[in-house]
Parts: sequence; C-alpha cells; structure tokens
Amino acid sequence: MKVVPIALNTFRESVRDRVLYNLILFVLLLVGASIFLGELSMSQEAKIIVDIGLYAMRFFGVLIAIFIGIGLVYKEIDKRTIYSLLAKPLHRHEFILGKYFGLCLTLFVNSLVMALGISLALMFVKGGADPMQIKIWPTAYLIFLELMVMTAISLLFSSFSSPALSALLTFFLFIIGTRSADLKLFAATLSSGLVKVVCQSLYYVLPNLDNFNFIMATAHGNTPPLQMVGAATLYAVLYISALLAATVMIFQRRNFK
Amino acid sequence: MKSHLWIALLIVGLSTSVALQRWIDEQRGVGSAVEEALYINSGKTLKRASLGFDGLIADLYWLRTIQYFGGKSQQIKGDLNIGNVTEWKLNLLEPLINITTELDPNYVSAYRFGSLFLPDLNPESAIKLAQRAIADNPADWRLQQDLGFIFWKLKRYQEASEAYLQGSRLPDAPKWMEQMAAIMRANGGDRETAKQMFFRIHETTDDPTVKKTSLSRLQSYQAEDEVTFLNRLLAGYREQKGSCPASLPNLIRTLQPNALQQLKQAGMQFDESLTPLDPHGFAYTFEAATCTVALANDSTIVRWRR
Repeated sequence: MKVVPIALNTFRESVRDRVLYNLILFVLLLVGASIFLGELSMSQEAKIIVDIGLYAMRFFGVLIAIFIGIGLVYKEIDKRTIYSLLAKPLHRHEFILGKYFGLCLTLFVNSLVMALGISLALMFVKGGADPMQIKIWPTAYLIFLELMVMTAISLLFSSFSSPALSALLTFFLFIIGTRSADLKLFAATLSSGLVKVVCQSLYYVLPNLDNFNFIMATAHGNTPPLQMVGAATLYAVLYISALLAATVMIFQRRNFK
Repeated sequence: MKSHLWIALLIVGLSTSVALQRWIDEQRGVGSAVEEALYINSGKTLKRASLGFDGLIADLYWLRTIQYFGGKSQQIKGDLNIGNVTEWKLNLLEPLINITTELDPNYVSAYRFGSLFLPDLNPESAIKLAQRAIADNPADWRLQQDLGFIFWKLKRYQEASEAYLQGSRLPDAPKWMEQMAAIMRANGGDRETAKQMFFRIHETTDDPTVKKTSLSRLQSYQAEDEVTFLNRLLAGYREQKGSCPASLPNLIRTLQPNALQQLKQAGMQFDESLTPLDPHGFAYTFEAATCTVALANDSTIVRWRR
C-alpha cells in the first residue's frame, strides 16, 4: 500500500510549509479571550471561549482545507514532480488517496491541538476541571469530519482546474453547504414541478455542512446526540467516498503529456 | 544607510504616529461617544450571512450589548439610577438583544438581561422578548420568572401570577415559584411582593449587572424599612420622654441590649458610636427640628421610582 508513505510525505510537506503556524494565532486568540472576556462578557466566559475556540478551529481548518487542498495536485504538476511519481509503480488512485489522507492528518493534528487548547482555556477561566472540557470533544470531532469533506471537495476541483478557480468553487460549495437547508425550504415553497425537483436534487447532492455544526449547542453545555454523531460520521464517509471516487476518475483520465 | 539609522527611523516613525493619532482622536472625539448606529438590524439576515458562524456573531453582539450598556452608564456619571433606565436613552438595547437572541435562540443570559431592563423602555417589546425566550427554551423556568417580573412591573398581576404558575410546573423549578404565583394573585401590588421578586431575581441570576441591580433594589427597600423603623422609634421616644433625643446614638442607647443584637442580626449596621448606617455605610441623617430620620443626601442608596 503506497498510500501511507505519500500521506506521511504530504503531512511532512505541510509542516515544512509552516501550515501549523496557525496554531500560534489560535493560542494567542484563546489566551487573549481567556484574560479579557472575564471583564467583558458578564458570566459568559466559558460559552464565549467555547464559541471562539470551536469556530476558530472550523475557520482555520476550512482555510487550510481550501488553500492547501487546491495545491495538493497542482503543485506536483507545476513542479513536474508528478512525472517522476507516476513513472514509479504507483497507481493514480494511490497518489490521490495519499495526498488526501496526508492533508487530513495535518488537519487532525491541527484540530487535536486546538481542542486541547480550548480545554486548557476552559480550565483557566473555570479555575479547575469542568464538564465543558469533555463536552467539546464530540463537536470538535464533527468539525474535523466537516474539514475532511471540505478537503475532498478542494481535491476534486484541483484535479481538473486551476488553483484560483478551485479555491473559488470550493468556497462557493462551502457557502452553499452551510445554507443548504434553504434549498429544501425553497423547494417546499415552490409550485413549479421541474424547479422543485432541481432544488430538491441539489439539496441532496450538494454537501450539507449543517450536519457537522453543533457548536452553538455545545457552547450552551449540550453535547450532540450520539445517533447524530453516528449519522454525521456515516454521511461524511459516504460523501467523501463519492468525492474521492470522482476525483480518482477525473485524475485517471488526465493526460500529462 | 547603516542599520542603526533604520532602527532610529522605525522608532521615530512609530512614536510620532502615536502622538499624531492621539491628536487626531482628540480633534474628532473618537472613543468619547457611544456609537448609536446599527448597520444591520435583523438577526435573521445576519444568521443567513454568517456561514454557520452564527454563535460567534451572537457573542459579538452580546459583547456589544454590554459595552453599549456600560458606555451609557459611563455617560451618566454620578447620576446612576439603574432602577429607571428610561433616562439612559438606550435606543439600541432592544435591537441589540433581539439580534443576539435571533442569532442564538438559546442565549438565556441575553433574554434575562432584556427582561430586566426593557420593561422601562418598551413594555410590549419586553413581553414579546420574554415570550419568544419561553418559546425557544420551554424547559427553562427562569424565563417564566422573567415574564412574571415584566407583568408585575406593568401591574398586570393576574398575568404575572399565571407566568409564575406555568414556571412552577417545569422540571427543576423551585418551590417558591408556586408561592410567588399565589402571592402575586393575592397581593400583587404590595411592597413585600416587590421585595420577594427582587430577592428571587438576585438569588437566581448569574449575570453580574442583574445581580447588582437587584441587590441595589433590595438595599433600597432595606433602607426604607430602616428609616421607617427609626422614625417609629423616635416617635415612641418622644411620646415617652416628651422630647426628641439629642442624637441617633442617644436613641439607640435606650434600646435593650438584646433588641440591639436583634437589629444587628436583621442586617442593620452601626458605627462605633452606635450611629445607624444605611446598607451602603452612610450614616442616616437626624433632623432634630422635625425629630425625623432620613437617608443622607450623599448616600449612594438608589432612590427608586416604579
């Protein structure tokens, strides 16, 4: 299985590219919030720490997924290193999967450190152990799943278009993904049969990123229900599999001559 | 150019720009006024534009609400009367709380803050906010307590009683919610009910401003009670001795030691010379000519208007 060395190499490459430097910004954000929010937020410090921490995890994660994801394939083609790679006994699907899991590993490390940071910040503002420190983890896991979906989307676009266009398309899908419930609502209010079917189809075909967003509930001290975590995991696995399959199919048809 | 010249240029440039910025701020009055503008005043619009970051935006609006409230209190220096915020011209308080709670319908602190201060500004909006809070968080009995408080403030005691009763039926509701429903129905307008209301608010809130306001109100009631009690003592003294005491400590010294002890246990404060002090530590003033006691003019106890 050549996926693992490619994945590890992609991870090493992102570390070399100083991708994890965003963690410094994240820590500064949390430390600043922990110190100053006690004065400002009137007994809502813990809620705001959770909000800032988890939303920052999502924000930085999406930026990494989009901007590193779009360069995964393109960089190899641009630097012409793809030729030496494909000349080896390496299947194209192994290359794509390796690149994908390599970036996922980067995002995993990033998310893990951020979740630990949130737990520590909560310990600081609460002056000791607090149930909220545990409650953030299922939500952090769901954010990581969302980032995995976003990485698969950016990889799909980067397999056939330029980085700028890939970034734009991925960002569009992110916007649509966060508001996909509107498509369903729109379809429900329509009377025209064809448009209704198109909207309904788009609702099911486009990624529904709301499935992974339980930040608000977590900030209020609730954890996502177990069956929702399970369903979101299954949804992510199915959706990512479909996206990777499409990416592999496109990449296998690409002519690098 | 040598490196020390670049360093000197950096220092001079930065320090001069700081001084210049201070001068510009002084000229333009930046930071001296509370901003009275909301560029987007629909929480629903913001929610749609938030790309799933609605909880974070709700926090930002909540922080802005607090800053706005704090900024206004800074403007009214020396004449702080949280009991009646009508004078504060809090035009943005209602939209800010509405936006916060539309972005995050479970933001109980924001709802509770609004329930305490909005009745002075716009009673009907306060009722709507409290009802929306209950619809979005039906299991939280504290929101029924807030609705009861708003109705009480508007002297709609029957509805207040109903709100307390509804709240008392919710899980985790304390026993006194049911008692408050009965008190409200029987004696909605009296002083004891008011004291009970603020005592319960003070006890149940975790919001420092709400806590401070309700404590302030309770201390005000306590001061009124103490003034009434001291005046009654003075009347009794005069009736017995045929004249007024020379001072309040002289009046207090006529009390039995256990009576004095009881007063102290009830929360009344005295200085070393036995002059009675109000809950903020200011000595009550004694008017020998009229033989009456009153709050000191410089006392920080809030004079409430209902």
